[in-house]
Amino acid sequence: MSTVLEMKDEWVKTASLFGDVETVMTDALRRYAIEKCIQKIEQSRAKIKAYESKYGCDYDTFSLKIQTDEDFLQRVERINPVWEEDAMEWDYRLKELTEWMQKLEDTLQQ
Amino acid sequence: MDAEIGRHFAAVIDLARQKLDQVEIVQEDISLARAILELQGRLGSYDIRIKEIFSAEGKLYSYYVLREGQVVVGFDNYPDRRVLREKFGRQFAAHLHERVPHRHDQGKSSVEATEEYGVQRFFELVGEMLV
Repeated sequence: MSTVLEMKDEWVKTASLFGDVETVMTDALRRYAIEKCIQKIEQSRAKIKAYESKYGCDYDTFSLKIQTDEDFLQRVERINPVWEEDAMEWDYRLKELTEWMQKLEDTLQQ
Repeated sequence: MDAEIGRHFAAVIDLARQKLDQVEIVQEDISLARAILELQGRLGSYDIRIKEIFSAEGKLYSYYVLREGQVVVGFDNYPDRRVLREKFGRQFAAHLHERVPHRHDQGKSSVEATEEYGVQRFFELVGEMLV
């Protein structure tokens, strides 16, 4: 896909100092995409780690025990009576992490 | 996620600002294939907490009323063993990860299956209950 972008002449002039403008711009966009993917991955990982620390287990263990272990459910409800909010987002962040890692891998391979 | 989700979140925020005081948007993020909105506010002496997640798997929601950190009433559709047991009986173990809309009452002392809730309906019910 090709896109026409309007850029400041000054930026184009500066970019041209480093080689073919199109190549420089493509490289800059790729680096930007990689940086943003890494940022998203780090944010997701931080959230996941916080939930793991809060509940003392990983999500797979949590989601199984919350349904099968009455004592565990009671302990969790003492920590946070609205744990469902956390559980929803925990699952969300894990899936998001997988998606951003895939996106990063795709970008790195291009 | 498409622009429709963005419009939906804007409508939820608008409604919350009409109904609640001290509305805080905790997070609003529309990502590659999923979207999340979390907000909270006050209604009199009650804390209202709203969280919605959209993905290809559908909508996950959590709408809760709390007072001094304790649940007054809440609606969500995260898998809940008590509702799954009621719905599927002995076969409930085969449905452990099934989303099931339900309601929790005071202190989460009881739980019952409901239809799927939306934020509009939640506010209507809360308005009736807390007035």
